[in-house]
Amino acid sequence: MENKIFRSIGNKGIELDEPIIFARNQKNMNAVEFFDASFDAREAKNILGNLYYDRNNDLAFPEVSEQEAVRHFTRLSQKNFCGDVMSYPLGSCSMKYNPKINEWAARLSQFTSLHPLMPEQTLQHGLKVCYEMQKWLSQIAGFVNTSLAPSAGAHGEFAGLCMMAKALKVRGEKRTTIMVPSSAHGTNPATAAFFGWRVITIPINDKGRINVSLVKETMNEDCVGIMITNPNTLGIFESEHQDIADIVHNKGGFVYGDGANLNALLGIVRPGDIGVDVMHFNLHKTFTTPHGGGGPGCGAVGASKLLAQFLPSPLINFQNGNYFVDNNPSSIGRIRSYFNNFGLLVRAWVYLKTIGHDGLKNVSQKAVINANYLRHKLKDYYHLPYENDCLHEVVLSDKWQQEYGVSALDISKRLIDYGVHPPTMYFPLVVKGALMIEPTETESFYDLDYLANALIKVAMEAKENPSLVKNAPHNTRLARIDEVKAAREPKLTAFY
Amino acid sequence: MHFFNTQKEEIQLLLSKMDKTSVDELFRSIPGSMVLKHRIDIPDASDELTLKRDLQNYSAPSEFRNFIGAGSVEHFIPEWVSQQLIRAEWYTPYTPYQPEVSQGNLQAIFEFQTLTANLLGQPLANSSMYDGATSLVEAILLAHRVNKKHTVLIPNNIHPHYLETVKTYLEHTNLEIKIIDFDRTKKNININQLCNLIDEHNDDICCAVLQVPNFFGLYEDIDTFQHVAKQKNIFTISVTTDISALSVIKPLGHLGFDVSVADGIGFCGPLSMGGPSVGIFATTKNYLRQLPGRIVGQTVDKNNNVGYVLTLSTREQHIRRENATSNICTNHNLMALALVMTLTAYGKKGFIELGLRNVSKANILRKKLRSIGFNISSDEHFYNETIVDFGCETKLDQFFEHAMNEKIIPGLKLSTFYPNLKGMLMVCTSEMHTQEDIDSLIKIFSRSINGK
Repeated sequence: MENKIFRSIGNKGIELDEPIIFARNQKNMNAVEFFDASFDAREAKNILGNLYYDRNNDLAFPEVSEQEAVRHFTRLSQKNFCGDVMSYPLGSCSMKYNPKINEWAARLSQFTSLHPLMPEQTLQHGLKVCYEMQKWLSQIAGFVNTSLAPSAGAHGEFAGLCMMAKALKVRGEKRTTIMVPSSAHGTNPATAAFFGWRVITIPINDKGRINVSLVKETMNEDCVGIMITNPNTLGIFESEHQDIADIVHNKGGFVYGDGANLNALLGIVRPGDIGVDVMHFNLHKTFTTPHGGGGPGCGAVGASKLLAQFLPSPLINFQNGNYFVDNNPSSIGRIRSYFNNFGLLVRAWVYLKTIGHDGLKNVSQKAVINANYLRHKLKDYYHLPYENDCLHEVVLSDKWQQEYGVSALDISKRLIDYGVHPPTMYFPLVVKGALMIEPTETESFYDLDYLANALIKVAMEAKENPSLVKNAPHNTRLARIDEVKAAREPKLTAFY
Repeated sequence: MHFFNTQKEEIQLLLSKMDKTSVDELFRSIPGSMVLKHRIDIPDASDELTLKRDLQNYSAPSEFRNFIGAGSVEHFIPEWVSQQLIRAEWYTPYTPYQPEVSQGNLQAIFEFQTLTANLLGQPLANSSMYDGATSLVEAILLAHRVNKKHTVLIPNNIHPHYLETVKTYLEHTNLEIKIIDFDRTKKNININQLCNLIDEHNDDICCAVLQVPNFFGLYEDIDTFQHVAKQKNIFTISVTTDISALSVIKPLGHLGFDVSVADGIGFCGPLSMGGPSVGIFATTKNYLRQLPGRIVGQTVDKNNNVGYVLTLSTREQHIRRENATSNICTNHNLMALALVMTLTAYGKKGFIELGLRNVSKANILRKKLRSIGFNISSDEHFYNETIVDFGCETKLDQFFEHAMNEKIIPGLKLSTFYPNLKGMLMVCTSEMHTQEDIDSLIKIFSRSINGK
């Protein structure tokens, strides 16, 4: 397998252009029909009276048959690169394989047919999944309890910080600052700003870790605490995490954990055991729920004894053979409608039942092996800004390629020509021209080597034929989309 | 293990290529004191065969016929939509940050933005949000960013979960909620109270919210609401939980709402105990750069081919960090895809007809209820909900129990959310309820009113 690269065109028989759906319109056509003799359109209009408005005047939904609709969307789907085709080595995204048994389970009638407001005794199957997920996630990360309500990582961050804000209110304290490392994901300071806290950016040291002495200097009774990602966005374990937590706790502050990188720690380290007070999980990262092209996700939050009473509602409990809603009186309350993104919970639940207790550590060990193998293969071709150990992801930079005028963006676009989705580019911000690579544990030796070989080939091309890389991609239908035009002349719908 | 795609021998080979003999060497950066020593209490692994067998009896549909709507109404989604979404190209990609390899997703979301904006009668929409409740929160925050004012006028006949969510968010801001009450009998908002609140807080009103139709499934007097609000230049927000209800009335954007939000629940997949669904956010051109969340825009590539791309990201957290319009980093993409497919299936003609079907179904129920002796209000603009007043909670509980024994969940007891509405039941009938369903329900109502 070594050194073999495939061309990424010419393998597919044919791919067709597909214009916007309205191009297929046929007057009065549609793709749904009902045979219901009881329906009387005229009577319905009379009931609505002068409220009724004929939306034939303005509604511009498509007018296509089922086959037209199917062809339209099937053709569009063919224009999407996806995980089931090839790797997405995106840092901190944990784009691992989405098991199909999860998809089967999520579509079971006893789950899909549940209306959220039905009496609790009829929701037992669903409430059981929620209760077990609360318990298992708490066990995995070392927390007292977990709320499944948040619908995304950033939503979980909101919930966690809201819990911290409420804890302060209950104490009668007012604090105005919060620490965020310079390597943090942008949602961290964005969420903190919502609570009116001034963000103090703590720089990382030359080892890529949070500067602990600066944390010590900064922490005081006016500081809410710190938001910490561990391992951090460089893939480096914050080994002084316990010290940082102690410094923060000693001044009455809280530690927020961004759990995006949990894939490195399953069965090995529990954030709740090393000082984290509240942490969001990403079920759509660590726990295989599909990314769906951008969402939905689930940013469940787990909490320590210090903050568990404030967890968002609803929480599920179990007693005398019954599952029921059992909210904390001190809860911050609801952060969305109904329960949670239940469809995702079923998938994560089945995933945990599949890998089981022993699977946890296997996942993280393999994730770390894979990332380090890539690091080992690539370190002679790409600049490695931080020499110390990394876990499940590695951050390289375009420094050496810049000598030939080739940037991270160019490298990413050329990778597309080799059928590999580019890694995360230009993040974390602490590394100039960053390429953040996380293969995950589900990449096989075969695909790992392919990934490495593609990256190596592009590195060599950058030296030997830079314009080839700078003008990439060459094999895609569209190339170098004009993002400036999109922002300057925004066109968000077909009609405006 | 079967998900790791690599055999033990190959793992050893990988390690040896890195000059390592054991995987523990790769974890040396973790201090021993932090390494977990005890067992995590989750069950042992299951094979697929066992898993399927254990979950086998979950494959039958719920034994209960459900008549609860209350913001989560089951609607018909054609089979082709469900099967289209099984395509890996829809559910296994990442966010379309590399547009050259994501044009299918981007174009479909552009179509979603087009249809949802059009549905709400607004020129612009974003690529979706988590749900209707959080979309409402974002609408209020947008209003505040625009006018810097603090008093938020919200009726308490909006979905109770939405109101609770708004309260959770606003508690940590300097925004203040003032509730507009509703009439106990007519279930619509108290316009006089709205006028008084406006007079009281004249210079500091951030926005006024109206749910269309309201939680009780009734269309309010939007013209009066807007007239009252716009006299004082107040920012108005509409919120909708059953989007099919918008197919038979004037488009909300044309009625003057500055922001219109909705939840696509019922049209983006099965109910699945309330999630995931999809938040819809639409607004006027004035607020383009204030839109929260992700936005897809149409553009061209270097060869002038039409293409699509995520745009206006300077509003977003990965660029502006603490100055972002919102902390939102994501959308409910797969549900938005499902919604655009479902709306495409219904089409213009089908969607308008769907609205009329729902009104017709509710009317059938109301006629039958009246014919057996129930007093159902007749001078209200209803959509697909019907409220039946049993007079007292005990009578309602008895009826409810009889219905459950017949494997029917006859509706939502309004006392669940409103202590002052004890004895009232809210029954939803959509196009999903057949004649037989309604007749079975009527039988139980009939027995109840005849004292059994």
